[in-house]
Amino acid sequence: MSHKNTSNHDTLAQKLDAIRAELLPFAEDMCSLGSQLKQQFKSEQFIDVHDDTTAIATALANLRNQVKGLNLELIQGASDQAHETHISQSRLRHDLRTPLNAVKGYSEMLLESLGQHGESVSHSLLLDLLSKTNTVLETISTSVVFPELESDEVVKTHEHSEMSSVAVLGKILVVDDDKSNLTVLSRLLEQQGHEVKCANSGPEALLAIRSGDFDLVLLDMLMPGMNGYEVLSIIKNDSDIAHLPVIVISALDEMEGVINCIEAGADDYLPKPFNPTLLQARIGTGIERKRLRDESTALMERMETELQEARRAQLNLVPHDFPSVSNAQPIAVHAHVQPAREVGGDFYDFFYVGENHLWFLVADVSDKGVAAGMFMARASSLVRLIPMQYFKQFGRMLMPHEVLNDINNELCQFNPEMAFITLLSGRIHIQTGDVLIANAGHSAALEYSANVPVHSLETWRGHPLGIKPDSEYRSMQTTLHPNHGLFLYTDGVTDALSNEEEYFSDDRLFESLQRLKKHSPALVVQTVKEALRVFTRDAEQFDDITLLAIQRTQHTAITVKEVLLPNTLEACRVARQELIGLQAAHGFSDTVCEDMCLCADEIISNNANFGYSDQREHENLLRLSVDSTQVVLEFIDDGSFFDPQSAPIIQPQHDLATAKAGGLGIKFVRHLTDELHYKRVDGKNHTVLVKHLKHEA
Amino acid sequence: MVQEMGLQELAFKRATVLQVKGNINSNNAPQFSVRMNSLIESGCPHLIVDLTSLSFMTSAGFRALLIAGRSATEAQCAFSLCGLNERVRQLFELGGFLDLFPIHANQQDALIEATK
Repeated sequence: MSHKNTSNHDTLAQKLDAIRAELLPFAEDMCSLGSQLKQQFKSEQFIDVHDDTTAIATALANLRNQVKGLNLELIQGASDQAHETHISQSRLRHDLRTPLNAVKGYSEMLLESLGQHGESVSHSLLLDLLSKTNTVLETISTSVVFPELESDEVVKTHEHSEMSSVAVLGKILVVDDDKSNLTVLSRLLEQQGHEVKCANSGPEALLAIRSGDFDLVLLDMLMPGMNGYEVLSIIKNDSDIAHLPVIVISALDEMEGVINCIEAGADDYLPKPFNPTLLQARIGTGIERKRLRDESTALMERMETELQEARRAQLNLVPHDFPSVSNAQPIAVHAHVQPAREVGGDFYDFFYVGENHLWFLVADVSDKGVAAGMFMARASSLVRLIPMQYFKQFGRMLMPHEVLNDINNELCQFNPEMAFITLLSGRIHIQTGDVLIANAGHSAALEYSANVPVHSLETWRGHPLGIKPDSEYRSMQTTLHPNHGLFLYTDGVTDALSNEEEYFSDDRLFESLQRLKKHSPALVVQTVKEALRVFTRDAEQFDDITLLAIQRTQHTAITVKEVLLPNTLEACRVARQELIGLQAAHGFSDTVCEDMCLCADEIISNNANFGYSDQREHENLLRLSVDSTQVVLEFIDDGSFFDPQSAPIIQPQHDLATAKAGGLGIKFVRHLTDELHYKRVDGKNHTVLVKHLKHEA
Repeated sequence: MVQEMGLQELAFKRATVLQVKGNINSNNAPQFSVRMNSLIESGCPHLIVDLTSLSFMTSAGFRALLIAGRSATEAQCAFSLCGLNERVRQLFELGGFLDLFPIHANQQDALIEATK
């Protein structure tokens, strides 16, 4: 290049002359030693070492040629920039050492092979060659002036500490552009029991890595085209293969490059020429490390899957269907639970005991995570089963504090970890609005409505459940007026932290409830959830969050009429007359009346035609009610189970004359009603048909 | 006002028209069925059921129509319907009955078809 500095140029030329002068006698001498060696073992007896002696002779011839041909052409890249000079010098040293390393490797293997031929074979030539090889290698290190980057001490310490490593076997990819290096390394590794594949260049190595499952890569630093550092960078930046351990191969004086490689993600380095013990130790460590990494990744994945399954199972323990409001059930409920971790300790529940009592509760298990989740599962089934079983077995509606007494005594058993639950549980009479609430160490419920400020319903507060047997609980009585609601929550709501480490607090909770203009439970839950989301933004959720809202809906001029019906088709006529009477009194449209008549006829005739296998007379109940918004018809019969929501539809192509229950009429009912509810209670079908009244503006 | 069922016959040369008023339900469907079958058995060549004044019909009424249609085929009596108002047509459609019978817009169309 034109900007080359002439004096620098001359200095380099002189240096090369000196090196040539120093090395050439050695090279010539060793070359002849190589020929003699080949001669010594040329007989058939030594056929197994012919390849090695040939390789040694070839490597020595290469060495001699390289030393002879030492001139400036070799170091074209040299320039006045120190960095580039450094690189071309290290390239030169690399080129000189490559045949020497090959000679050393082959000679060591040859020594080993000759050992099998018995003691009569003379090793003197070979030992002479090895000692000269070492001398020349040392000469290269001292003759070419380089700043020392790292002392030999460090390497020696490594050697000692890793001597005792136990052999760990694996599949190894060796990457080197020099064929003799590849052969020496792969033979050494194969002797140690590893499975070895070779690659001549960076691109070839990457191809092999992407298509094979290697345990480790041995990567030469100096290669034409893509060098070792570039290959390493590509590996470590590709998430599919970044986990693969890479050991960089380099001469000791390439330490700066080694450090770059370690920083770029290489796991270790190996100095040339190779020491078999060091090689085994470093490779063993690398493979072991990959095994551990693979195992921990697999373990993490398995635990993740199990946690997700546990989360699903746990979320299935609480109801997610929120019943729609009707005159028969003028109470709306909505709830939400959001565990902080995969599995949580919070839960809510609501369920009917008998026709008129809705039970509801919110609970918080001490601690979070899997252990809390299991305690939660134990408690959640008790809290449901106890009031239901009492009612079913003894016809008695328990008071909430009685349920708490029973659960507490049960949870106090087999609880060495002293896990506990705070719980607020109540029941509401859905027609009268009478409420009973009992509290086991939980936050009080809040009452909200359009008319009165949000306030908490103070209750006598007992101990959390699971701590003290026979602990005392009390039920507090109140009345929930129409359009008033109750809000229950766990402390994960008020203790939620913002990015600024502020608590959401009671004040913010009261405020977000107070601001509401409409109070349907779904909206209340949604609003508080949204307020929390805005408040916490991306702050980590520390505690489980649970919300539950209940509202009594307003009754407007309800007319309720109950009629007893026989289990014959005569019942259809009675139902029709009642509907016509209701229409006369309330003035809803002919369409509504006709649709209800049709639907009532289908449901009731179904019961009369298909509901009974005995010949006895049965008495069923029809409850009709109407307010300004809807007409509701509730039919309660003791016929066989029939759920109009899931009954099969029969196509008219089938013979309708012999059709069973279900069939065509049910299709009409599903289509013509605005709401259709069904439940089977105590051996009776409860079928509720609702038709909304649409008012003209 | 929900009206009770009313049935009225109109006899023409080639056909008999049965006009239905009010609603057909579980209680009166048997009566509707008996009336249609007696007309078919009396040997009328074409029975037209005119539903113009029908307010609604339950599945019992549809069952009666299906049975009558089958008897008519056996008795070689042509059987058709006419005058489906919007609400009744909706029920026919829901139940999949629109292609089970010849259906005409009104009594006149049905009679023209019957005299062909």
